Amino acid sequence: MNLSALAMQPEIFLAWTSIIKTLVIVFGIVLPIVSLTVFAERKVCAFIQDRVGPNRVGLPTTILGFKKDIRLLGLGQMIADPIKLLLKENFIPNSVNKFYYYIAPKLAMIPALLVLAVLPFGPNVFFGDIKVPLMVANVDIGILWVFAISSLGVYGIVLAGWASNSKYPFLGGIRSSSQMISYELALGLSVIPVFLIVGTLNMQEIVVWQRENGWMVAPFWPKGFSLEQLLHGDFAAIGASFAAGFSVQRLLIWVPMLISFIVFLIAMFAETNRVPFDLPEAEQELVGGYHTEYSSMGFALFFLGEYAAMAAGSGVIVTLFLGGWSLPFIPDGSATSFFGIPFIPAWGASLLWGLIGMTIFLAKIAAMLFLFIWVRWTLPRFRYDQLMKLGWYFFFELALVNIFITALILALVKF
Amino acid sequence: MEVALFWIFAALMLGFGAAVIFLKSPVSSALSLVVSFLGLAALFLLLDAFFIGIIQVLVYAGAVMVLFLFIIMLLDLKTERARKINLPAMIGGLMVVVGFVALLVKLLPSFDIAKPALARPVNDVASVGMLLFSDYNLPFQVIGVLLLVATVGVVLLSRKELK
Amino acid sequence: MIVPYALEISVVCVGIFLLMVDAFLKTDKTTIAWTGVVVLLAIFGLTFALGPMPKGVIPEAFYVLDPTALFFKRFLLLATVLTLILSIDYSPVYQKFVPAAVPQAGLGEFFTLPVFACAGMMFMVSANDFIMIFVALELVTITFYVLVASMRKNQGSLEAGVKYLILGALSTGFLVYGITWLYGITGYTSLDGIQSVLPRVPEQYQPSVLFGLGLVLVALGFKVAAVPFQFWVPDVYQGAPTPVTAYLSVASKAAGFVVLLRVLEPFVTTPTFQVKVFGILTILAAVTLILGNLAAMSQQNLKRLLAYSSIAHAGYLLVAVASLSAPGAKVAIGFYLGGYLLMTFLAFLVLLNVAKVSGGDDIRDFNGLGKRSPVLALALLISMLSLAGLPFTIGFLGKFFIFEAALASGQYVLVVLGAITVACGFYYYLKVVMAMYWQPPAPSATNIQVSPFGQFLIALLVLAIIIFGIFPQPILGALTHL
Repeated sequence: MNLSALAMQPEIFLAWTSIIKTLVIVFGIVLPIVSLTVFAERKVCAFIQDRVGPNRVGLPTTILGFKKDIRLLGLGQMIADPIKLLLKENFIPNSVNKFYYYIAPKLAMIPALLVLAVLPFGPNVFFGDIKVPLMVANVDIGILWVFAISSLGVYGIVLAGWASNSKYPFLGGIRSSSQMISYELALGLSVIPVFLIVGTLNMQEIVVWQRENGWMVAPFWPKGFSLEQLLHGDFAAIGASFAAGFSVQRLLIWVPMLISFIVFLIAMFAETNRVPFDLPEAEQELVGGYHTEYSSMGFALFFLGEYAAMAAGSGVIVTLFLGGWSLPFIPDGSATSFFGIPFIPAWGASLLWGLIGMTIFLAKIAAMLFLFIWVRWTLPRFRYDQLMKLGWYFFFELALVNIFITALILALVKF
Repeated sequence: MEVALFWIFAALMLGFGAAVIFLKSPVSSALSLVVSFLGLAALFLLLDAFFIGIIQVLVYAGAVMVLFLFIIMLLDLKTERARKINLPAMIGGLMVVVGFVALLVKLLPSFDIAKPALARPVNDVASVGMLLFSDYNLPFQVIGVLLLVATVGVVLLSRKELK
Repeated sequence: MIVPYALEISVVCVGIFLLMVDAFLKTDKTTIAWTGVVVLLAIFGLTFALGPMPKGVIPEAFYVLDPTALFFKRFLLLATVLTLILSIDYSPVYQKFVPAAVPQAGLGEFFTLPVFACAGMMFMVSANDFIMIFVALELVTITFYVLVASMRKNQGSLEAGVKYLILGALSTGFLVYGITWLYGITGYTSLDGIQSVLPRVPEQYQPSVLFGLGLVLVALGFKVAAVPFQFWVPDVYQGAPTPVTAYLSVASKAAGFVVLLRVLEPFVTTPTFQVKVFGILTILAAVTLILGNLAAMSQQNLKRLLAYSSIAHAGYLLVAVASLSAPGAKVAIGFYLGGYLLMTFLAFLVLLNVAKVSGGDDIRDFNGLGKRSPVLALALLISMLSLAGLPFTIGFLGKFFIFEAALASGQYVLVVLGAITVACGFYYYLKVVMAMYWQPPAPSATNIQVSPFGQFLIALLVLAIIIFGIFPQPILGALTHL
């Protein structure tokens, strides 16, 4: 059997496409997103505080004898920051528990990357008969995987705090574990209404459902609405499609969906230790929290893990509530032509639409990340008891009641 | 492939399970238990029981053990001191263990391992849900009462001052 | 048509209602207990309106409502009512050991949790499937973990709670592991299903079936306090709040025995397993009889003594279980447990009232009780004599029926052992009687006042012990269909 035939065998095919997808997602998407987000964080912060922010580091052309560097809006900072972290001395304090001190940063980063495995980055792309979903693992338990793996992320933080053998990191670790446990409840309960509506836990199917019936947070949805109608300015058809997509049930469901969305969003802030829930690393109280005793690569991994978790969390929010890779008038990977351009084959059109879906998904993630940053530089931090009260007395109950409301609407309102 | 993965994860699970008992530091024991749970979850996944496998991770590794670790760290449990070995207890315990293992060794060969597995459900989340709310509804409701009692009990036992 | 498990549902609803009252109404907490007593008695009355239902009628595969289940549901409801009454008497002591910000804090839960345990045990006696058995058993044991440990300012109670929790969890592990073996071989979790498959189990799998059953027996042995799974009993009984001890020793044990009977049913009716299973049970019964009675002889604390006596009584009950092939064995078990309910609650009622005044439950705290409070002393005397098995008490008849069944099924060794251990029993029960009548009271001892209702209840229990000891027909009549 020759190599190409072997490569097309179902199991082998799955294996090598998965490896490629994993590599592309980790190195081609996540790492750039993380460094972009760090840069964006500094830029947005500067904007909010009416400063300029990093704007110097660009192409260092002076080394080559030029008079001036090319600044590129300071985008070079994206590369300069990681290089700085890597080149610093990796200082290990004497009193730490070496083994756990060493593995804690890895444990903090790995779950954030694993979550990405079930996120649909784009629609299914078709190469002839072969269907390639633009996600690493298209499994039926999708969202449970997200919860399960992200719940493991706390070990890194807790262990870092404990292994550092130092007061402030320890407090940070303890805070983190109780905070994550508390908000995991609200997080898990708040998405149950989504599954009541969609009837599956599969992330790709949730997106496909939203593509056809409207995003979870947007009940007014055109049915049978296409890109052609928009391009030809056929507004009567567009109006008709909006009317076709209307139902009382969808309208009523909007209320619990908004509640779900808000609770999930806030719980996600808490899960990723972002302001206003950044108590594990509250710098004014705990120096640096759980990573006080880390430097160089260890610190970089925590940093990376935190931002990757943020990106992954944004991806989950986008997938569940904001329609994932879908936009109302964009075809998915089953389309066979690309704007009717004749020399593009069917598989090429499918791939192009897939990539466009991926771009839409990443754009939505970027918008969510902007929200994360915006909130960070706008809101003050909660006090610890406020955080616990909010989680247990308010969000937990709200999410629980929300399930019943959704179930009631689904059972009683059938039109 | 599946057989190889089975042996890897089974060894992982058993090895770390033993580590839970033999390691002296409570934190190490708790973390070994986490790894053991992960191995068990992987075994479930190999059987296509995705739902149970992932719930294993979510509930035991992700929630229960985090609380364990939280308590261990908060109480600042130190490494166990070497205990004096209580000879009769040791012999008794060993006898139970050896007897148990001997029984298992004696019983297991009577099973035909090569027998094909049962028909696998396509979507196990849905089928578990259907079973819970139809055939197994009564026990499921009783579990609801159990959770209520447990909640009341936790408040009764842990609140600093009862009101 | 009425739902077959309407009784359990109503008991659960009572529990939730009482919790709500506790949470939202600022009433005196003892009203909660009295409400519980009244409503549970009403449900007790309702059981007579609800006859046993044949298996085909009930759509639920997990649940049976045969005469055994119905009899023991009544039994459990009565035990719960008595426990609640005991709890009201006990509440001043309980409050001393609970960290409270307001007076009577924690009492609401203390009165409500037994109701939930009652619902769990009622499910247990009707459970016809290992899944249901497991779930109901867990509901009961988790409630008991909380109740046992709930006196948080008392070291003994906390220690008892921890011991009970750890050993209970261990036994649960055995139960589940045993169930998986039985399920793995028979393909059923329902006892009916197992019964239908058992005769056809190939020879090579039979040891595995016995292994699974053995593991299940370990767990159930733990619940009914059979030797060698009795380690937890003395400490837990001594440390737990007294009403909980009484409840644990009567209701939990009875429910455990019913489950034991149900689980054993398929195995003792299948010829291939019969001999071996009876062999195991005979050994269990023998060691339980010997160890329970011998260990009780050296006890100086009445609660601890009652704990060992509870092990000993489990031994007598196991004799009947080992004689299941005799037709009267089930009736004997039902009768014995009925008598055990009366005697044990009487003993604990007296113990509670004495301990409240004397501040301790050692046997020497009962010194001179005959002079300090002749009524209580007489009641305890009757309870002790009945526990020992003196003729004209219900305890005697209970043992008599059990030995009769054992003789009928040819368990001669157990009968001889039983006769010897009954003699041991007289020694340690009479030790208490000696202390009451022959020892002078401690100089600081005062007389003991019992509330009018308490006196009424004591009189009622004493009369029941004697009357049913002479005319057992009413109880036997309720048991004829077993």
